[in-house]
Amino acid sequence: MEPANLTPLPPDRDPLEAWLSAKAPVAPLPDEGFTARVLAALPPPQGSFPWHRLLLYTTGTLSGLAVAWWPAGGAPNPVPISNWWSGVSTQIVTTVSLLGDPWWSLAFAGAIVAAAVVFAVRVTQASPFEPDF
Amino acid sequence: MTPPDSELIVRVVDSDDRAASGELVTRHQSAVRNFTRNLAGSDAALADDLAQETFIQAYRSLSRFRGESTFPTWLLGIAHNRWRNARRQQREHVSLDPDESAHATVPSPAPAADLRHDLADALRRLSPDEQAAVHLCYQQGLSHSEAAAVLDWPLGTVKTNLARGKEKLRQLLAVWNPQT
Repeated sequence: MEPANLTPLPPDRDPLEAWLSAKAPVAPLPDEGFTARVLAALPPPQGSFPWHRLLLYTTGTLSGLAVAWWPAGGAPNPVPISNWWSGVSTQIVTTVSLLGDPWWSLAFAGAIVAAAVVFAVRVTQASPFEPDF
Repeated sequence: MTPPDSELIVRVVDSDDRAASGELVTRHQSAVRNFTRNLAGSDAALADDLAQETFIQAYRSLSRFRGESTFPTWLLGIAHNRWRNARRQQREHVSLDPDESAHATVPSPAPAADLRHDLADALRRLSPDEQAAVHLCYQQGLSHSEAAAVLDWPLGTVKTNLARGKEKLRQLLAVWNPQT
């Protein structure tokens, strides 16, 4: 807001005080998307469950346990590691071969779709680009 | 009826209500952005960055807001801290050196409409501390005590900066007031 009556004053008043007071209050600035930018930059809502962290921690923990379990009991050498990898490969092949069964394939696809939907819903709820006005 | 700040703050703290957060930002963005623009001089982008950081910091610290000052005063205090940190990091002042500004050319007599421009120009020639004190006490309408709380200065420092600032303004604007 520009001062409306900012003109030289009579000498019996302190002009500076009057000019500064006439300049107050400060002009209200239009929002111009500022609020939306601030909300977009806020941390995700506290209610959203950190699935990605849970997945990361679980994977890391299971991988660590697996590595600790299979070659346990001996000094590191290529043979147990090779045996361990061989066992893992066999299990992967066995698991994948189950997908040859149409029902297993269907169940597997359904699980993936369900997981993707849950993940997408969570991400949408927590998205900083969707400020909740 | 619009809810008071205190009610919105409770909603944000208790349930992370984003609508309440948005209302608080909308309600106080003008005062904070005006203040940061005053601090940052002509750099409006920097001023808005500082204002945005202010609200994010306020959101994170809201549970620690005790209501010892008004909410806008608390926000302005955060804004001033952010600006002080930014200035410390950049090691550069956005305003002219106060000694230099004190000897700057005084405005020449001109039509009354130019007084507005000369006053704005004179305000920019004050030191950052003087600008902050004048801005808070006159343009934001805070009391000296509130300005002291915002700036984290002793009350006497606020008064000193105000007095120095006004004295410089009187000199810079002397041409508009032949009695001084």
